[in-house]
Amino acid sequence: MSRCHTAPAATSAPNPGTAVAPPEREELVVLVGNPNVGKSAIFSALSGRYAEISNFPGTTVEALTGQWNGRPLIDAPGTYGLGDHNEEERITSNLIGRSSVIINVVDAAHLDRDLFLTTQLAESRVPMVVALNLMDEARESGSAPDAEALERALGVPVVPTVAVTGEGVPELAAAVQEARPGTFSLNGADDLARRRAADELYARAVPQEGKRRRIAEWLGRASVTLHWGIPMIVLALTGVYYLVGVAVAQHLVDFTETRLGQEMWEPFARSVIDGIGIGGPIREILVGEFGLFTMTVTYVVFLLAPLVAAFYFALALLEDSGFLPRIATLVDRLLGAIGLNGRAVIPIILGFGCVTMGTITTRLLSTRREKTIATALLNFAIPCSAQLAVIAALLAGFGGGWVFAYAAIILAMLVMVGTVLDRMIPGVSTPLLIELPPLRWPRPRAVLKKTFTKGYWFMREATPWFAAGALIVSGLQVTGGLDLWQRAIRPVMVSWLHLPAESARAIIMGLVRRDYGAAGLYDMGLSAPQALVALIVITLFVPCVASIMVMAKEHGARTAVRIWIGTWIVAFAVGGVLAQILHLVGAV
Amino acid sequence: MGIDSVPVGTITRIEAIEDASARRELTRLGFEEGADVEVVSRIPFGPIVLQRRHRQVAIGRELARRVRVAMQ
Repeated sequence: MSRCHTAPAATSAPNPGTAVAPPEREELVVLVGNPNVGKSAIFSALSGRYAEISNFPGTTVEALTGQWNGRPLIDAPGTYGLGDHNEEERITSNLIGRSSVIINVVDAAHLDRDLFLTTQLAESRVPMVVALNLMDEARESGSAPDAEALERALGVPVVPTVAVTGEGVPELAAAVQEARPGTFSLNGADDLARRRAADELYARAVPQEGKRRRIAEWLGRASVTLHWGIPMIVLALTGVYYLVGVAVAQHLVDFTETRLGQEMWEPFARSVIDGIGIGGPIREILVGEFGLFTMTVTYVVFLLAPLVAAFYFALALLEDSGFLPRIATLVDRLLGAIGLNGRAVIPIILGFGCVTMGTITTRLLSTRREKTIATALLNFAIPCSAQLAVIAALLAGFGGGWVFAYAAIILAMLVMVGTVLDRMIPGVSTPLLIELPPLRWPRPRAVLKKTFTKGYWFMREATPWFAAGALIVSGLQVTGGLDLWQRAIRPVMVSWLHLPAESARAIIMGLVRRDYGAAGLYDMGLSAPQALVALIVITLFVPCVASIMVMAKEHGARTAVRIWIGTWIVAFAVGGVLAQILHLVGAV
Repeated sequence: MGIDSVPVGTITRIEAIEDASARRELTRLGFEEGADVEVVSRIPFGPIVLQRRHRQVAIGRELARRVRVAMQ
């Protein structure tokens, strides 16, 4: 584990210092295979380091690069075939044109599917080897492919591997020296002919009398029926909620953020800056309320890092068990009503943990339209776990009725925003078409490695954005802009929302992070109806700075600005209408 | 008829996939025209789950209507 990020493995890059230069054709080794066959595991086993980017199965559209024996090694996005069907296929076809050796990673336990791509690669005239990965699983099911039969049919070396344990990896590395162009040829056959040829090859290379794995098979079938699937979902999501939402977001973060961050780190940072004798606006920017060394460090290290690690852990479990696509299947119909298909449930689930994370995950949706709708839903109406904790604490004191009212209003908003966007954005929702991987126990090592690596990369990407956001806010504070702003929206707070004037401050805080805004309402002595109004406003209010930054990065600045402005309007409109109704009935 | 009206537990042969993009993808996944597949689940008003050998794929109801099978 420790070697993951420390340093690139012993390499001799052709031109040290110009690592971004496109690799020479004679050099490049490219890993090609279907999604979820262990390509990344082979990649890290060969290059000695993990991929440079978060990699949800089937969603990577950026190729990952590393070094192996002084040669550039690229992990192509997972794809089921070559051509121009989608971006993964285009990127992979392009990479193959530039490569000197293809390592085709296939899933030995699901070879029938994988051979479609393999036969295309064997016709590419580029020297290749096949890594027959997940061999342990294939042996277990009693249908291990015959590597020699495949070798004869394809004309290229075929090496059985179990990438996660390292089995077969040295043999694979040796076989790369023997790589040769495939002798397989269909002479420009169409997809259907290729499929049939692949099936024929499969029938020759794989024994057909495999053991039946009754429990796995029953689970695989039951999990996609309503009467078994729904209880399974409830159970799994409850587990995730307790791990991420309760154990980490509330208990662990309470300790790290308050104790370690605010009570130990921040006073220390201040004393250092004061000791050096820095004062005035610069002190404010460095260690003030939104300071680079105070708020930024507390958020990034003591709040975000544990949450991120927990989300990625839960995500890795759901992902590796093969459960997420099954949830997507079960809820497909519900999401169809708001212009999405079942796939969109994945970012939405993750959004309840962290909206920023959910926004990143909208990558796995296939059209721009769906990405926009899902991103908007996440940033309008999904409260993140940190915010939920504050909301629950505030409302619980007033009784279950208020909690229910809050949940009902937010759910109604979710449906409304989705329906409006579905009507507004041209186009139709794409139908669901998703492969359901077999359910299996996640491998602890793989889960931990995934958690660690993805968490690390997320933090590395998010931290500069956080610092930039803090700089902007403290800049406003130093110049008095923050104060001005606060005074300007005061009338709206009092006569429109029927809230105390000081709650304008919570709105300002909410500009940075919604959960911060919610926390600002905490000791304001609000009545139950006031608390409901204030929490509705803060929930529907602008997403946290990190979310906006991610949105701008993933979907462009225009979408981000539109959603940001839209949340202002929706939050104050809905909160205001609610306040007026409550006022009419004499509650506020 | 569409595979959406095939009862659960039935093995049926896909005759035609009347959607170019879905045809390409299903062919890659091994659920091509001419394949014998089992209908594993029909979620009420929702997707149809198909199985071939040991692999499953879920397709939305609307799309399932355009996956044509022979009359039983």
